[in-house]
Amino acid sequence: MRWIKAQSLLLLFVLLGCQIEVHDATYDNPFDLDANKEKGIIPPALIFSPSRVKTSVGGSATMNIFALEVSGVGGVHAQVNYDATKLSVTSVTAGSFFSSTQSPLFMYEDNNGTLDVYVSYLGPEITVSGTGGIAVVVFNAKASGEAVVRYTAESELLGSNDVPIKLNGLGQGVVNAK
Amino acid sequence: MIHKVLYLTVFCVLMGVPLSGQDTLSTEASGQDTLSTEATESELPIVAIMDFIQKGTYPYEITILEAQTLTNEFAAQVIQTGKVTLYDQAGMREVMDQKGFVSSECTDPKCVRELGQLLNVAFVINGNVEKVDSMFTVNAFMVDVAADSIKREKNVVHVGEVDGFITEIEILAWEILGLPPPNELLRKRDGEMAVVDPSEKTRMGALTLSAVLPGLGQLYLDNPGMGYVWMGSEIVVGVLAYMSFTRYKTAYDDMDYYFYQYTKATNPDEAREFRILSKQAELDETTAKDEVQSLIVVGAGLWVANMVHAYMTGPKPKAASASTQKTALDFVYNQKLMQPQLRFSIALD
Repeated sequence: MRWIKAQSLLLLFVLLGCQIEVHDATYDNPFDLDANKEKGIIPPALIFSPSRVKTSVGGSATMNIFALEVSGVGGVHAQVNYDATKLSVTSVTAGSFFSSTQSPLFMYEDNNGTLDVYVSYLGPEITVSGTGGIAVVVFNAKASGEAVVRYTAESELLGSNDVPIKLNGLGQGVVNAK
Repeated sequence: MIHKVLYLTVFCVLMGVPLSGQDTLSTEASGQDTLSTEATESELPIVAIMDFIQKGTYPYEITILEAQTLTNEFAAQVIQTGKVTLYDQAGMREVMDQKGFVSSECTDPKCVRELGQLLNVAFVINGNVEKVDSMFTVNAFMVDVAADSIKREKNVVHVGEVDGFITEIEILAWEILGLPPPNELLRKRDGEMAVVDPSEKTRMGALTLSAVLPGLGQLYLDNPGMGYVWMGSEIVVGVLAYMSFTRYKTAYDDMDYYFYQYTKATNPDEAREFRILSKQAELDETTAKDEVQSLIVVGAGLWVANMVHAYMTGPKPKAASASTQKTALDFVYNQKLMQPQLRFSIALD
């Protein structure tokens, strides 16, 4: 009888323990147009990739500034706000979107919490379309916690002849330092 | 010392239609030497057992109470045979008192037959017991009331302790009915301890085996049909569960791969493609998981049902002998009420 009881308990344990694991995926790739749409980010847009970066205090976090599904863009001004108490900008380099036979003008200005990145072709003839990296920003985590990085409304896309192109979405990123 | 058995009769349940014409159920009429084994409870012939009377030189070494106790042991074993319905002992004594029958005087077949007719039973068993030092003797007669003849007569002589004599009385109860005594009693007579025969099939054995492997208990009970049905059912469910689990595992791995590709996608087309693939894999994974869990529950349910089936279809445990039986629920016939009754007895020894 004791053996039967033990077996019954084992059977019960197996039944209760048979909770088969399944994925609980969050679809938040910044290039996913459907996921962006749910967040209200509709192309043409500026996004961060990756949108979430984990690092340690004192460590670096690399984020790419991307133009998403743009058309006929000859220049970009991306103004990024970040929490200067938690992050500092280590370096900013040009992305590959504007690289072509003609080198673009690339410059940035970091002003203690606000980073302005300018990329532009000299002349109205050359424009780019599609999705591509504008700049690579390396942050340094100064303090622990989450620091949100977001584009400001000052960001803009320019078409040929400096005609502004309306941005329909501005993504944001998070640097999580522990 | 002879066990002092006091039967407390509790007429607790009145059952069925009053019996009548039970003489027609006499086994003699069917030409059978032993009692029918296929008769239902209500068809069983009714047997009245008169108190064994003392025999020998006065003063008797066996008292009236002891003789009655031996009769009760004998009657209890007669009930254990399950082949007859016992006429209520107390009711019979009452009828005998009312009609002026005295056990010690009613020993000839004619008187016994009259009593049987009065009680409206098929058979009457009477007998006598004698003790001389360590020698016990019992003579028992079964009178066929309808045929007006002694159907069977048995004599037993026992030299030794009273416990052995009680065993002989119990064996006598089977033999007087023309039935083979159970092995347990025969072993008891031979002085063996009452042990469980390892080859004897039991409910617990069937339950245990079915708990180990579905259908094994039924095979053990020589019921291969049901055994293979249970085993096959469990195998089918197991195979289905395994197939579902394989699908789940494949979907899980696909999900891992596609979701990783999705997170690494750096353009909308790739992201869209891997999002769709990943979502499909996720759906497959959830469906397969639900199937696996359902089949596990079904399999477990079948397993438990197989165990219950093995237990329920297993042989009922043999009733303990009257000497060791502490309580009993007997089926007896009450003459006054003309109805069968359930009698609840407690042995106070």
